[in-house]
Amino acid sequence: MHKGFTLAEEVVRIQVDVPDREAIMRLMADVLEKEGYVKETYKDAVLAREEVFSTGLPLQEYCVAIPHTDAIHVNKPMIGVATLQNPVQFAEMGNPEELLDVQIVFMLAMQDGREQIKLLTQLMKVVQDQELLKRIYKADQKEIVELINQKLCMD
Amino acid sequence: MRTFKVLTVCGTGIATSTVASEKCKEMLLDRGLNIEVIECKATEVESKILVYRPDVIVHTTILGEDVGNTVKKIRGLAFITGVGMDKLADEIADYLKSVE
Repeated sequence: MHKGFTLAEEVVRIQVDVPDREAIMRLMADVLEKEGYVKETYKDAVLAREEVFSTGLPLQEYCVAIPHTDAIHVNKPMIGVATLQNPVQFAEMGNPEELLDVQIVFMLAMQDGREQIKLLTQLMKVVQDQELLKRIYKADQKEIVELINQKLCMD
Repeated sequence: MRTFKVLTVCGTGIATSTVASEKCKEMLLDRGLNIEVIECKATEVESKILVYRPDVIVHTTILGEDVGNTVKKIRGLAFITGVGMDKLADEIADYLKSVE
């Protein structure tokens, strides 16, 4: 088990109406910063990184993006979660030519090291579960926290 | 059978490559291959090749055309999305068996 990680309701935003990927990344970085999970340098770093190393994941119905950046910008691990009213385009991971319509964003605030591998692996199980993503997309903040925490805690 | 060395590469070396490398290891072990995996950042690829001498590079981020050309490169995104994961593991396993 990853020690002590639970998703906080304060970093979940639902059915956000934003024009593009930059806007959602700015918004979520502000949320994470306000709650103390990341440093003020995080926002610029995550925006810059996304343009070089894109993080859109091509899935079936709901595409997901997992913007993140180096650990030095992070105070403590958290995952900002946003569902989007209208999809915004993120480039596919490892294939910047391919643009994906993303409806769910998991903004990762991750620190170094092996401790988080379990957490990340569990998060990828969320990403790989289209039924769960569908439920997350339609859920309110409280339900999202429950759905994700449940999945993250499973072995 | 010898132990094959896999180098997994992502942008920061903390988030995606850790997940990809665990999955890669697990699925290749399932296919009867002895595997050792190390992770690195995209910027470290050339130096890791010299030191580590991997049999294959599995990358989840873009690598320049001139990077890592002495080693077979395979895109590892399927280890993260789960879509086409078995096919990818088969592809890597087949390649490694072909170079043994």
